[in-house]
This record gives sequence, structure tokens and C-alpha cells, in this order.
Amino acid sequence: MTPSFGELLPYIEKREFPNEWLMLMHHEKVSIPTIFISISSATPENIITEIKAEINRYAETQKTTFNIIETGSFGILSFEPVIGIQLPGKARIYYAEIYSNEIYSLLEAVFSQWVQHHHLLGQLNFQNTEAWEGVPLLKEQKWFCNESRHITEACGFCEPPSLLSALSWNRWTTFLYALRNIKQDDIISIIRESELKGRSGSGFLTGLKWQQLTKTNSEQSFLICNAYESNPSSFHGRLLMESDPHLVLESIAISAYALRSTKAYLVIPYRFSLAIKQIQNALKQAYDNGLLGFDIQKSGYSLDIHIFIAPGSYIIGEETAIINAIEGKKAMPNEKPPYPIQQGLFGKPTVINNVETLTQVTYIVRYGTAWFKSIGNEQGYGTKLFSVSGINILRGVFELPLGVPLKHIYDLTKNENANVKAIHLGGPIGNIFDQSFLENIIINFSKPSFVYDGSILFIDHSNCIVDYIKNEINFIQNESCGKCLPCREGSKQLYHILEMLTKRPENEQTKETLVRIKEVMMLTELSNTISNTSLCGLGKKFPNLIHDLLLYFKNEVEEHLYERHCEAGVCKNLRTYTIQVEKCTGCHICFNKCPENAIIGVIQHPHFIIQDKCTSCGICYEMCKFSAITFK
Amino acid sequence: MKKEANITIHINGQKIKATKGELLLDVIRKQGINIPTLCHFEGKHSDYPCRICIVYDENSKSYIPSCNTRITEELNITTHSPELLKKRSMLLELILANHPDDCLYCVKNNACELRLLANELNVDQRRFHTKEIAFNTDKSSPAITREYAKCILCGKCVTICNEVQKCNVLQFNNKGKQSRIEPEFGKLLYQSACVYCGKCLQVCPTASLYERENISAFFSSLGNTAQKTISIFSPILEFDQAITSLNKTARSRENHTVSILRKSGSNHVFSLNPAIDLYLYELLNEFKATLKENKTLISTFCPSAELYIQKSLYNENIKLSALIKPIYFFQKILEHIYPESKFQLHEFTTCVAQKHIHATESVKDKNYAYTVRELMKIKQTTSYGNNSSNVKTDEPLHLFSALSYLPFIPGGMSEAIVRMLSLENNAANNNINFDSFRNVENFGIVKITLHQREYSFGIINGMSHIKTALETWENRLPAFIEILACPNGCYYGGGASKENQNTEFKQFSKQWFEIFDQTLIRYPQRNTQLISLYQEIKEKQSSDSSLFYIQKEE
Repeated sequence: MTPSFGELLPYIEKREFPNEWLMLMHHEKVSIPTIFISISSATPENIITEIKAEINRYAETQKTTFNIIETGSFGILSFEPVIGIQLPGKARIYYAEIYSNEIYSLLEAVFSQWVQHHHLLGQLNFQNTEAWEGVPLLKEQKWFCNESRHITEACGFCEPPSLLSALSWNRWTTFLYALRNIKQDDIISIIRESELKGRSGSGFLTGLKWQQLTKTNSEQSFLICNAYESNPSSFHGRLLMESDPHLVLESIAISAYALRSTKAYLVIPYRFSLAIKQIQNALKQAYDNGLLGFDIQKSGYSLDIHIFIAPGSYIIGEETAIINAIEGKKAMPNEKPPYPIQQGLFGKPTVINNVETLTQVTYIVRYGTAWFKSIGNEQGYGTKLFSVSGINILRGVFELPLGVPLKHIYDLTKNENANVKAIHLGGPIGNIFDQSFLENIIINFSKPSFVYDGSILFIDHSNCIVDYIKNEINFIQNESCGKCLPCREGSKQLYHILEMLTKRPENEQTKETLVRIKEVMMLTELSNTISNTSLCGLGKKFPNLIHDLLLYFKNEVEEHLYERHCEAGVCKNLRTYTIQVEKCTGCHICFNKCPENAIIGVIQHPHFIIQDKCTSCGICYEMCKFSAITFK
Repeated sequence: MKKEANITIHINGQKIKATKGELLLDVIRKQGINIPTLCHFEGKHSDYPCRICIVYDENSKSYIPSCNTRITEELNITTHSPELLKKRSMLLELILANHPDDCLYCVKNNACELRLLANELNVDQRRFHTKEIAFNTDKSSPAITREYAKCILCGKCVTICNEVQKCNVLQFNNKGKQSRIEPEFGKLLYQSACVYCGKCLQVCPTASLYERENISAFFSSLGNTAQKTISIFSPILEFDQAITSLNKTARSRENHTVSILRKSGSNHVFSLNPAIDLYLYELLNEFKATLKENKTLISTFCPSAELYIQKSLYNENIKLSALIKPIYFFQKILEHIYPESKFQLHEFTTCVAQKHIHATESVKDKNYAYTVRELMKIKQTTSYGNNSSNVKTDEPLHLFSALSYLPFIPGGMSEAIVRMLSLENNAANNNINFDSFRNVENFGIVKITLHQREYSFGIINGMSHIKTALETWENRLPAFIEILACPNGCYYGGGASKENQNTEFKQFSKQWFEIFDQTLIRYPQRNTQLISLYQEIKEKQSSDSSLFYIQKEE
């Protein structure tokens, strides 16, 4: 049977578990049919409930019993929900995108030893289990990134609600080992030696930051783990918290121990409800078993981890804004200096690190600097989680070594219909490149292909870049904290200039036509002013999008400005509608619906559009039942 | 060990020595170089969001805000380059893009800092054409008007409300383009905890925050021949820099208030002093009565402080003074002097909250309060030149004691009570150290022994200290507590002119000695004319005891 936590303690300190127990915890050997359901925020909770109900229905009709186990996610959100089925003596077989309407037939097929190839992901073979014929191995799949899968190694296999399962994946063992055997300053020098760079975007050396804290000689210091992923296109921190919450807590514990902090904060956005649930559950287990709290395992070191559920606002990701939010103030960034390392939370020195950076710390402490430096190149060592998304792209989190060519990520994730018009790295404060960069970009901590927070968005040809950047600026003008003038007012004006660009002047006779061109000419000056004078990183960096728009997509801007034409057809107000005479039946509907009276024609005769009156509202296009109206 | 760290910095190529930790803006301004700012606050920590004061640092190759940079390392500063000027004017243009273009009809008009800055930075055309203005105005309060359309979110009012006065009424709400400065949850000012101290009116660079103007009421009262227009001015106006030219000492000041009010056409012009004499006289009686009850008397002379205590603090051992405000003392006296004629009172003061008192307190005829800024506007309309021939107030209420100047200074009310007490007991003033009343910085207790009896006086200077003071004194409350909401007294009140902010307070309170020494009537009790008038009023009334106290509705 499974041993208790107390019985396992001696093994934890030796960092070696009995093989039988490991096989039990990893479910390598099962006595009854076992079904693994991946739980992630990509699958709504009600769908999971429906799937479980279907499985139970199957069990009732077949008069068998199942063991249903909830695991985390592999990270590939396009595959969710992933179902793994393991029959006694057989290898585990994984299927993707299985919903409640398909699970019944799938189970029937698997139990009759027949391999259904639709939605098949692969099989996981263990010792003493019989492999399925003709099924590829899961770990050999391209998207699994087996060679570089380190900090996400337990994601998809580990059971987030179970402490014992986490222990079997070596969670908490590194912390307890370090607590007994490694001095605090040694951990800091290990991290300094490893040249670990912060994973949140700026790439500051983590070890250097920690050394600066030790120089302040303050009695109290705080550690804040920043898991506030406000960038809409990045979701790897969420994956870590949902699928491997004990790793996150252990990493905070090791880092806080190295920094001699007795209080650490984990900042999670309120909308990550599943992550909050898993972390809170894991935290309770850690406290109950004496892994956190007063005098941890009689080592003399005490640590409290507080979960701060942050309210929704993009800017909370900024470090001084986090401090203000925890102090109970409005989340607004402060002027730096003083840096948080000098004067942070409640006036005390504070280290703020991204959740991914801290998990890397655990692996460096466990496997050593030499191992860490063998991955990546001199601009940045180690692996990085990439959140990849796009149309016709495999959306998900991929762990790859730094210095990976962008083309490699694209090849890994594209399907046959994929095409690339632009690549957006790093979200609203990142950069946007045209397709020529796809071939020669290597992602690392160097310009031009800065890694930022690891979010990669492939934009295909169905998108209009001007419209895309307009929407990004709209995001900024709503999410800017509203404190400093250039960012607040500048983003407002930038949005309106781009909005003018994506539509036709309402009246050609007024000065509006001239204003439209004049304001576009000011884009460079305005974005320079914003980036030079803004207070925090958001205002300093978001004008990069405008620079990139004018640098790489000049043709498209000019096309919008002078020709008033949008190639992708996304900017609705720039379309020119025409009626095809041969298709028009003269039903007169468009004539009646046109708000500008721009359509002329007699019933049962072809109609025409007067282009000078047309405002490109598109109502006639939607109304026409004979697809006689086309646009350019 | 004393650190005298001198750092050499370069400003526009010139070598300049600066001390470590000094503000860059101060160093640059010391050189006679102008750096424009909109949101800078001298000596106070603010968030400094306007960024107009940016300068270029050659060493770090970056633009830094000079008003928030402490000198810690060598800098190589450029203050005016074509690039910098362009950026500054563009920042201002960004503000102006969202500002209503109604300068001609604006209350602030010539006093608007934004307008001056636009002139300074040579903004001569509108390059941004988008306006997203919420045209709503909060007129809920009778004292303060908040015009949201003109707010440029500089945050000065937030700083003064939360860090200087600690009322925590105004704050940044929402985010992004919906950002606003307003009371919590977007409440109206009248619903919020605002006590109308009016300090925010003084710092607002635009016409986003200003007093509810009563000027039209003043002129319409002049036109009404059925009633007398009586202008009463607060003694503090005699020292206000906008109206008075102080020639070296307070004694030799040249006060234009009376002449301005006479020129404007008021039927009578009085100073508030006689009413304060009576107020102090009555306060002494009340003080003696509460001493017997072993309770603490809190003066309600300052309307903001009274509102603050009523709104947020309640303690059983504390007794708010039930005396009516001095202006209503005046009303009672005038009712006695002119028994048959109708009249309307117009009070000119530095207090903004007085407007609220006039609007809410139940009296027979509606009276009005005006700030110095409004008085200056009345002066603009009616006066020509500074010719002030008749500076004496009208008889019979022209005599008053020197103590009537005191309640406007922190510690003054307690000092007046002690002086009056010592007169009653024929004690020599020389034994009492009155300096201790005036040297109270934030809050403190002054203990005085008179005839083997100890009296303790609590003095609170500024609204921000009320809560801390009452918490500190919780176990041993003094017999009398006086509070002035505006730090350093009414001279720096919310309705005072801007010039007052730059003058030293202590200078002013010392000048009072000269007045005291050179006045014939020193004590309210010696003002025989007034006291006899007071006795007459009391005799006339049957229920004399509650004449000067707030009538409680049963």
C-alpha cells in the first residue's frame, strides 16, 4: 500500500525512493483499468463532469470498475481534453480532444483491443507492459519536445491534488536537501554562476539581483513570486501552477531560503481559478506535513507563503505595481529608483521573480550549474517555456532550449494550411516582425529576436496588420494604469490615428482628409515621445509596435492611407462594394436597406452603387441573398 | 560622522556642485534655468505623472524627470535642446487635445497654469484632433465645484487630500482612458467624507476644482433696495497678500478690504472682530461650565474640523462646543441694532467650508460666504485703482479687542482663554509663557497653572493630526481642544490667495504681538461698549440662556 508522508521522510532526504513505490505512484502497473483525464483551464469544468459521467455509464453497462485519475496537462492546449487509458498489463494510450460524445465508443474500442487512430496521440510504455501495435511512442512525438522537457517533465503525468504523487516526481526533495546540506550563500553563488536570466522579459541576471539583496544587510526581506501573466498570449506560468503546483511552491521555498526571507508572496491573477484552487490545495498539504511554516523539519528555518489573488489589470505584472497592490494601494507603477531591491514591499528590500525563473532555480540546485550551462548558448542558458498560438498552429506550451531558431518552433507547430504574414513576440510590449524574419531569427536574450516573456503569435494572411496593431493599442489604452501622461493620453491618440487609417473620411469636403494624413505623419514623433518620457516599462515599450508597423509593414500602411484599400479585407470601412450585373435579380432589398441611399435601380432590373455616397457599411452585402454584391 | 558628499554635475556644459540627495529640479532652478512643471509639489512626495519636466542625461543616454530625481551620481544634463522642447510641447499638446477649448468662459481664465504653460512652450496649433471628454460637473456641494472635463489628472489634489490633510476623499479611480480623480466609487462630493477645507482648490492648475461662486448673489443683493447689504470681512483678510500690502510690520499694513467693499456698494462694512470678542466671552463661560462637568470641550470655530469630527469621530467624553459661529453672533447684534430693517450678510473670509455652513445652517435669511479669490473678482468689477480713503469700519461696531485676532492662529484660542482667565484672576501675564502655545508644530498639550489650578489645552494644527492626537490623548484628554483644519491656521486657508503660501507663518504670528501691545482694548471683557450691548440683547430676550447656542430640536 502507499506509505504515509512520515514513512517517506528518510527517503526524501536521501533523494531516492523505493522502486516499487515509484511504480505505484506513477501508475506503471495497474490492477484495474485506469483512465487519466487531464484537467486544465482549456477544458471547462462541466465538460470534465460530462466525460466522467459517460465513463461511469460505460462502467455500469459493462459491469466493470475503473480507476479515474485526474492529471495535469501536457501543455498543448489544442489537444485538451486529453484522455489516457491503461488496461492491466498494457501500455498507456493517449487520445486528444475526446469529448463526452466520443468517449463511450473510444472505451469500447480500447477494451476490445482495437486501436482507433482518430485523435490518437501515442502510447506510453513501461517495464513489464505490453506495447500496442502500430501506435507511435508518446515521447517520440515531435511536439512532446522530450529532450528539452525539464521543468515541465511532470506536467501531464503528476496528479496536482496529491502530495505523494508530487513527491514521486521529486517535488520538495530538493528543498529539504538544500535545507540540510547547502548554505544559503552557496545557493546564491550557484545561481550567480549559472548565469540564469529572468524569464519575464528583461533578462536581468537572477543571481546578481539576489546578491544585491544580501548586500543591503536588512533584517527582513520579502520574496514575491510573480505569476501574474497579464499578456493575453502567454499562458505557461498558468500551466505550471495548474499541472505542477508543488514545484511552484518548492521553488518559492528554495529561493526564499536562499534569500533568508521568512515571508513570500505568490501573486496569481483572480481569473486563474483552477490554478488558485490547485495552489491553495497544495499549500495546505505543504503546511499540514511541515514542509512550510514554523521551523521546517526542525531545521530552524521558518517560511510563510501567502497567496495574493490580484485584481485584474494588465499593469499588475510590473514589479512596483505588484508591491502597491499587495500593500493595498491602487496598482500603479512607481518611479525607479528606488528599485524594489532597495526599498520594496512595506519599505523592505524585496526580490521579485517570475514563477518560471524560480522553477529553473530548483532544477539548477538539483542538477548543478554544469548541467544547466550545457543547454542553450552563452547569451542565455537553460530551457524556456514558449506559449505558441496562431491560426492553423498547434497552440500550447513548448519547452525548448534558448537559442532555438524560430523556424524550428514554426515547423513544430504548423499544420498543412498554415502560413505566416507576421510574427508577434512578447505581446503588447514586444515586437512584431514580417515573414522574412521567420527563416533567420534565433530566439535568445539579444536583439532583434528578444525572447520577452516567451509568447509567440503567428499571424497569417487573413489578418490586416494595421487592424491588428490598432487592437493592440486599444488594449493598451484600456489597460494603461492612467498615471503618467504620455502613456495614457498618447495611447488614446495613437488608437484614434490608427482608427482613422482604417476608415474612409466621412466627408471629403472638410479638412478631415488632410487631418488623416497629417496625423499619420506624426506617428513616429508621437511614439518616440511616449517611449522616451513614460514612467514604466509599459509606456517605454509599447510604441515599439508602431515603430515595427512603420518599418516592416510600410506598404500596408501606405495602401491604407493613400489607396484606401485593405488587402486582407479586414478593415470593413475601406471596402468598395460593387453589384455584379449578371447576378443581380433586382429584388430591391439592398435599395431599401441602404442607410445612405447610395443604391439606385428599378425592381427586376440590375441595381448599381454610387461610390461617392457609399460609406462601406456593408449592410447591402449582408442583405443580398444572391451574392451579387462583392467587395474589393 | 557627517557626510558632506558633494557631487559635480554638468548642466548645459557648466560644472555645478550639488549635495547628495538634492532634487535635480532645485539644482537646475538655482542656476536660473526654467524647467516647466505641472504636477510638482514642493517638499511633498507625489507621483509626478506629468513628465513635462524631463531633461536629457548624456551619461545614461536617457530622458529623466527632473522633479523626481535625487542626485546620487554624476549627471550630464541638457535642459533645452530642440528634441526636448519638441517633446515637452507634444506632452502639453496631448493634454490640450483632451481639454475643452473654452478659456474665455472659464472661471480660472488668466490664472490657469495650463494656459500660461501653453504660452511658455509656444503651442500655437491643434495637431491632435480627438477629444473624449466627459462633460459632467459635480455641483452637489455648496462649497466646492468639480468640473471633470477640465481635469488633467496631475494628481496634486490627490496628494494634498491624502498626504497633507489626510482626508482620503479624492483618489485615482478606474484605469486607462477611463481614469478619473473622484471620491471613492464615483460618489458625489456631498456624499463623500469631504469636509470642504478647500486646500485642493489652491493647488489645482486648471479650473477643475474651484469654489461655488456667489458673486452674482452679491450683486443681486446690491440691487435689492428693500434690504441692506452688509459686508463683513474676516480679520485674517487684513493680512492677506492679495489685498493688503504689508509694509515691514503688520502694524503698518495697508488694508484695502474695506475700501473694496465700500466701492462695491455695500450699505455697511464691518469687521468680524467684535463678534469674535463676544464669541470668546461666551466661550469662556462655556469652558468654565465644562470644567465643572470634567469633560473635554472641543471648539467648533473651524467648520471643517467640526465636520470632520461629526463625520468620522465620536467619543462620549468629548463635548463639541454648542456655540454658534461668530457670523451669527453678528447677525444677532445687527438684529438688535437695526430692529426694523431687513438685511443680508455677506461674509468675506479665507475659509471655503464657511460656504457650506451658510448653505446648510437653518437661519431666517440666506447669507453668503466669499473667498479672497471672489473678493478679487468683485474688486476687478467695481474698483479702479488702489485709492483707499475710507478704511475704517462702520460704527457702532468699530471697537474690538486685540484678542479677537487670535483664534485664526493655531494655539490662539487657548491663548485667548488663558489671557482672559488671568485677567479675571488679576494674575500677572508675565508669569505665563505664551510662546509654548505658538510653538506647537503638529499637535501637543500645553499646561498652564493659574492660581494653584492646572489647565491643559490641546492644540491640533492641521486636519491630518486630529485622529492621531485624539488617539494619543485617549486616556488623558485635555480640558480644551482647539483644532484648525488648514495647517498653520486660517492665513493659509483654502480660500486664501496663492501669495500667502510663499510667506513664513511664524513671521505672521509674531506680528500679532505688535498689535496686542499697541491696542487700547486688549481683552474682550474690557470692550465695555460691546459688553453693554450684549447685556441689552440678553435682557431683551426672555429665554436668555440659549441665545448664542445652537438650538437643539426636540
